[in-house]
Amino acid sequence: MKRIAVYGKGGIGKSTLSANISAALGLVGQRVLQVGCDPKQDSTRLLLGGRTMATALDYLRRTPPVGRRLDAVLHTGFAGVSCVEAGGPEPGVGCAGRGILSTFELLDQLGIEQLDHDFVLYDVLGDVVCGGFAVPLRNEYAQVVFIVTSGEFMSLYAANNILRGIRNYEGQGPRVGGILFNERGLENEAGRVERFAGAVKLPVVGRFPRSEYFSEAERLGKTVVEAFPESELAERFRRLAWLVAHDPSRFSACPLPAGELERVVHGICRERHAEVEAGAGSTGSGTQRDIASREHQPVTTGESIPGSPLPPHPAGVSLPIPPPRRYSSKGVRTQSVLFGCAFNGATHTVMQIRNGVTLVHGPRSCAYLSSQGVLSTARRMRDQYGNRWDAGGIPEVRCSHMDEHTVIFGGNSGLEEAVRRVASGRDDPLFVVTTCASGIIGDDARLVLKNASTGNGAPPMVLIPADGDITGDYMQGVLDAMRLVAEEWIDPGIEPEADAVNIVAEKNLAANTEENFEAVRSLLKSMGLRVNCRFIRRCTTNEIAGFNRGSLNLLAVDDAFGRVVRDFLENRHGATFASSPFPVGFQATSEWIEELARHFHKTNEAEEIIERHRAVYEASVAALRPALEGKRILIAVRNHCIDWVLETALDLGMVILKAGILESAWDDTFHSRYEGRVPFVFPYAREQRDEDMRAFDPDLTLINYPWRNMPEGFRFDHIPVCPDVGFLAGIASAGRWLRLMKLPAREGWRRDV
Amino acid sequence: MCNHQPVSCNTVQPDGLTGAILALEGIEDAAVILHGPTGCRGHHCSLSERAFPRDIPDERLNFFEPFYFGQPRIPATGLDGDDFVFGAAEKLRKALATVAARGPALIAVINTPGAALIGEDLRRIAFDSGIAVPVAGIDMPALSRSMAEGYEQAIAAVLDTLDLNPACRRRPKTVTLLGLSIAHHHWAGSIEEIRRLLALSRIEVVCAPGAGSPVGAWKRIPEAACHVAVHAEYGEQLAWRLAERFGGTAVVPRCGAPFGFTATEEWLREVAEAAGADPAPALAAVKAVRRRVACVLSRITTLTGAPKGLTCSIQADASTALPLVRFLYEYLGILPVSVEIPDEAQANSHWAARLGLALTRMGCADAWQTPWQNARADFLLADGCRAVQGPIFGIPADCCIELVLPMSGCVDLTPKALLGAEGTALLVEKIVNAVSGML
Repeated sequence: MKRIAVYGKGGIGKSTLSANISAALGLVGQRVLQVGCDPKQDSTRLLLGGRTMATALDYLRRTPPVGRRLDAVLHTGFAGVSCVEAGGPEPGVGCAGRGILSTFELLDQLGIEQLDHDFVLYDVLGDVVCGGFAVPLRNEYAQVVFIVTSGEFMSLYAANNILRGIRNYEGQGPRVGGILFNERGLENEAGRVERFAGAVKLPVVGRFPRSEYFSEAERLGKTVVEAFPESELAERFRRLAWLVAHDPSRFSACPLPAGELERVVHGICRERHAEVEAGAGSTGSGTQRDIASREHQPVTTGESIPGSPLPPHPAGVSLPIPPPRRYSSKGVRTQSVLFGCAFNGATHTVMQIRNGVTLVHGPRSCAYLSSQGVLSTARRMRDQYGNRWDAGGIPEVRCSHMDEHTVIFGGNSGLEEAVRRVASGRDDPLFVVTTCASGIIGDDARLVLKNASTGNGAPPMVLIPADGDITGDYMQGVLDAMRLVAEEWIDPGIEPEADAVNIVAEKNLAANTEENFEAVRSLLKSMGLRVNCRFIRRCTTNEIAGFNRGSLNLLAVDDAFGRVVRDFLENRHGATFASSPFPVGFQATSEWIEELARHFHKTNEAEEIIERHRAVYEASVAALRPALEGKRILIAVRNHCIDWVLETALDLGMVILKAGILESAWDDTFHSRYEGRVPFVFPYAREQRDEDMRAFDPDLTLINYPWRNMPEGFRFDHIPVCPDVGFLAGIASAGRWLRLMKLPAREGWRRDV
Repeated sequence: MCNHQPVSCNTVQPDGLTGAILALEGIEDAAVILHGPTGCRGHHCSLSERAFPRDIPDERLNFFEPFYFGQPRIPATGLDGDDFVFGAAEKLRKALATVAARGPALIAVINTPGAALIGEDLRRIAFDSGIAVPVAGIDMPALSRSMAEGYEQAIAAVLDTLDLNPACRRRPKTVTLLGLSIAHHHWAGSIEEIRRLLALSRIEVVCAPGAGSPVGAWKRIPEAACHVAVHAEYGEQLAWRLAERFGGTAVVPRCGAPFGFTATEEWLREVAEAAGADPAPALAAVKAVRRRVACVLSRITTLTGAPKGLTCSIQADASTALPLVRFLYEYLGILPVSVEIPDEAQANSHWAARLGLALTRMGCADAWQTPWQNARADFLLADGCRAVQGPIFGIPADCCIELVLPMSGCVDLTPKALLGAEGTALLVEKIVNAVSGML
């Protein structure tokens, strides 16, 4: 596939030229995709009979990720040319450059690469005013860049700026195909363009005179190639298409320094002027001499073009619509308000890799906020559970320190410097996570890491392109980081070991995560099993590499996040999972242990563990039941699995008046083994709670957190959003219920609020 | 393959965004809207809620509550990827209406880094929203610059927004206190202590911008005869700015912030002189506390001499570290082994130069910018982030004293100060209690 970008000042005619090139290529059987990267979204109009199409950005806004389809943004126009319009914001608001970035990401996600196009033409607005407009320049996109200009000074000024932009992305060699001269019919126009072309050492590879054919074709909603195929103008486009198709020479971007442009264009510059003067009046002669000195043979549309016709392409092949490839969080999937940002989720995830260092590409505040999240959790773990700090200390986070200057002038060099500084003398992997600031300005962190990792002794470097919350919410960042780390490190060649399990999708910000892990590890140890890898928590890249040693995977939490991680590991890495997550409550724990026992042939050990805990559980129930039997409870929680609460209450002979399950940010399914035995309401409305408390007058209401103006005089207890695991989780809560029922419903201080 | 460092440490410092948010959260009856993703607000909200408790949330962690998402302070517009492309004026308009309905005296809108880049016209949006409350806007917070710079930027933005009358008649013996933020640990008690001491010398504090004063008090700023910088990094430029705009005298005491008895006395003398007041009554009050503290120290140091001979690490702004080093060295006999300034950009300030000179005179030049985690001191005086990591590096939690952005989770129900005479007494109390086993 050949990728070509056409840049030029707004209104200079690059869309018209692009559409005609696409049409000419399409007519000779080439499969062409034209991507309009201009907020005014008219790049492909002439290919679509004058119709405008739904833009990628509008589609992105209104369609959740799972429902997105490539055919919704991809339309077929004249000569079978596939057309996509990026679209963009209203003038004066938002960031059109970011819009182009988002469009390219969308097309990538929807698998446009899998379509077998011969050519992709990117029609890009104006100057390379920010990183977003530079996206087509990046190496993985356009291989050749053409610049459209007229002889107007501002058009040439824009062309020079475009060359400056291209120069920033020329790491892989020259990429400028030449200048497309779209005449405006001005006096001495050709001379100005030729002087400019000579000065920047580029050929004029196409010249298009003012013509009524353009306006007439536009009126018809067609390209000149379609509307007036016999015209000389159409022939010029066919010649240009031939050039494009036959791998045109590529030249380095040599923009003029500031201040020189005006002198060159107006013929004032003495040195350059002399060169240009010698060839004045003949098409491109000055240009040709410059180029000849670099051993390139320029081509202009004035010359005859030799060679064979373009090879035909089999026609009539329908475009496949690849499925979306993304593993999405609940928030992203449902397009709800984003809770937290993907950057933070990704950073918190890679910070769990003990032998790694995390580099934040963004302002210091982003690094600060992320590291504070981990530090606060560690502090809470210490205060609530007595967990000591992780032996390695607090994970290291570094930052590229983007400031106001960087966000205006681009952060690639700052990132490069930060990577060099952090990677120096280090063998351990480096994780670079991007923020919304770097995402908006379009820094090419991928290129920076690619360059940095080519040197001898460079540590492994992994980019997590979270772009703040541009890619999604906190959980999306966690998912993306897990996915990228898995794909970088998990070694598919490693065989499972008989006694090893992996722990998957623990909540890194919950204060009881270590407590729960230790409880699970203790149960596993009782069965002679060991933990191979915690994916991803307090682990090393070596442990992740050996992920496949775990013959069974244990999901920590069966919520929307946990299920997506499980799906990913099953689909991509062939992982086998236990059917239930970390167990909470007696029955769940018994069943979980029995399943493990079946898998690992540890039936005797399992029976012994269960019986030992059954005795404790039954004794606890017997002790609590006399005081709690017949007590009436109302439940209004956002936990989407409360079987451990129900089990305890029912075993104690309590009466469950209603179990209201509120909407949760973390889950959207509800299931219970007590359906039919307990009056569930799902989804349950917050507004209903006060009314139910008054109507049922329960002995105890179980909630997550109190709310403003909740009815007074009722006893309530807190159900943890992340409960402790194990046989006795419910019993521990019931002991507290008993104490609460002996205490006044309302503490004295509440009267002073 | 792995090259583990034995223990890693979180060294990231907050920047101007945090400084700006907390400066504006320090206005008692104002509301701050963060125009940006929700991820930028959670920690800031926790900081504000702990430092300056005012509101309770409708329902904690109810993420479905618009703009507040189950936290009581610093609502956020929740910008997402689409908003960065198309703009989010409508979200901001709705947030302004929601927040204005709660009746704040001022609303401050701060662009997060992402929002700053898309160039949202905060003032125009606020104007179009038609709310009657004055709205201050910070278009581009001081990214990756010091927290102090962000604080100054925010206070200046409010001063520009409020229609203060420069022709107002100045009243003698009145001061504004500048450079105190709710980020400073025990800020409320410190303000009260300074207010108490100044009142003894008949000096009235008319406003402490960013440290609890309501908008009404800000309107009295033009009355002040003196504009006094308490923490110079935060308040020095503001003092000069206010003096230039409203008249009066800018006062930046040479001792730095009033940490320790000597610095407190010098600070009081300098402020009293500028305000035309007699410092003697305030100094007498300091002396009374000196006697109380000395009486206790003379008793408890009898057996071992401690805390004399112990060592300390300090990580703080230079105008804080300078008086602290002097106090610990001269008054308690505690040797500084590490003194760091959190922001490299301030390392060349005149305060840093004076701090370096003071350390040299003490024979402790090696302490300058030695990383605290390498120094293995008996005490650490630093921000909460560093202090909470102290135990990892062998410094007991009791010996880690928080100066700004506390993280220990302790709740203070009785007023406590770190500045002034009573603040000094508290500092001594923390130190001797932490090493009581050595006494």
